[in-house]
Amino acid sequence: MRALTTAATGMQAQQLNVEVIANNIANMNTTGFKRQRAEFQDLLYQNVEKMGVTSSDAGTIVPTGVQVGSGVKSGSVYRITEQGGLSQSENPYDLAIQGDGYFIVQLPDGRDAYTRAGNFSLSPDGQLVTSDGYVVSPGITVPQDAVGVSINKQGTVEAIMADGSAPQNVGQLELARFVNPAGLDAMGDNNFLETPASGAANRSQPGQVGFGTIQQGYLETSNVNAVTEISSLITAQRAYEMNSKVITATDEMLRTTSQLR
Amino acid sequence: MDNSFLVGLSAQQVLQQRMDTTANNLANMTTAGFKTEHLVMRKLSERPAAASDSPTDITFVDAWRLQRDFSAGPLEQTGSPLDMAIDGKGFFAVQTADGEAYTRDGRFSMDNQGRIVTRNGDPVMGEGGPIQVNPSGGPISVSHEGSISQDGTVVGKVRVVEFKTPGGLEKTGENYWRATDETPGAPENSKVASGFLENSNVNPVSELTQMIEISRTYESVSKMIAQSDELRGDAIQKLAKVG
Repeated sequence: MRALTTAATGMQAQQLNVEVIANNIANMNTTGFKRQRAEFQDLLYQNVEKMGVTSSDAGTIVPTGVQVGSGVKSGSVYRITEQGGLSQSENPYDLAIQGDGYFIVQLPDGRDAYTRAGNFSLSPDGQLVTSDGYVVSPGITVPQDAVGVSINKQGTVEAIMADGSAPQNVGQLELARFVNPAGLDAMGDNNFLETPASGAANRSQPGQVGFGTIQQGYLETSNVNAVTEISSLITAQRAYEMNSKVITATDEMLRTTSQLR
Repeated sequence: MDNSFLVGLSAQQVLQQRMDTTANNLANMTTAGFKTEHLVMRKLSERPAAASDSPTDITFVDAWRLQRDFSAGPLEQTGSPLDMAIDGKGFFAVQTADGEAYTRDGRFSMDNQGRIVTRNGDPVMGEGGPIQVNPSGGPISVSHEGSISQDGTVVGKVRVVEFKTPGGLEKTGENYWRATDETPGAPENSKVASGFLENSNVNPVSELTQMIEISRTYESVSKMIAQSDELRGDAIQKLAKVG
């Protein structure tokens, strides 16, 4: 009986659903995290009686045939790149992007990664780096004798000097935008890599048309909404349970058959 | 005598198919745009094999048609403008490798060339072919009529079609439907709701009730078969007794 495998696909789908929800809830307090959504599609159908075939010589047609479906499959896990909230942190190296775009991070292997998590700091030699110590592109070095930095909305970094002289321009932050940000490949550590699905990175200064602006002293919180996640979790759990009931009922039907003799 | 076995068997075969359909409904409880379907049975009256066996016709059971419930599923708000739901009876038209397909699943996104595509990467049809937006342009908005605008100008209109007998559409999986004998017509009262997704319209309570009914009916048919077998066994033993 197909119902057994059909219900099994349903249980597998709900398991994936729960896994995605669990990951969202686990990352509720991860800076710059974007929630994900498991999406499903129906599986192939078997045509028992095809619709649209002629049912008599007079040319009448079968309006609705008989198709038996074989369950569900996971279509994709879609990342919802909606803006998260901004939380104030007072740390001058905490940067949040308000609007579209990603910070560009130079990975040790030479590739570029993209991130929304702007919890940066300075390396021992004064470079602006991520919490993993990777250089934030295009590489900004703050002089040793600076007492502070000021980063404006357009991403211009100025060092405030100890001697009270005029602030010194030490660099310009860049952002990258993607046609389809949901197509980026998440590599962990809040970093993403570009893929053929996301399209090539379009780099520009913050504040340009379509690009977001920088907020110094703020961090972007995750866009996970606890209430939505919990209610999705309940739905997923119940759906899992119901699919397991189908297996029990089908099993019972098979048992009655085997007990005939 | 054999007729009771065959009638029982015909019922069991259909009940298994009904169970398969119900299992498919429950498996697709969270599939966007999925529509519930139920197998409808019919009576097949036949003259019994031996006319002397019984004076009346014997009625078998056969899987007849699918009854599809096209009522709207609950709408879920997502906020993304490219998530679209249809308020009404319409379908989105999608260009696939095997020709045009139709779907109620409006989870669309932009591909790397700026085309609006489904999750399978198939372009969503506009009034004049696939819809192209400027990948580096501003945000997109979608009107109730399905017009897509970007930076204040209309760049395309989502093609929504309606069918007179949507039950005649063939499902091909991946949330796609294909037309069989009807050419799709213009929408009469379908509206596009951007920022929403249509969930599956499966009602778990009624599906579970159906499931119980199916498995219990199956059980009683099995009992009926077992009893007629017993009857036959008895008959053979008693009739075979000589003297």
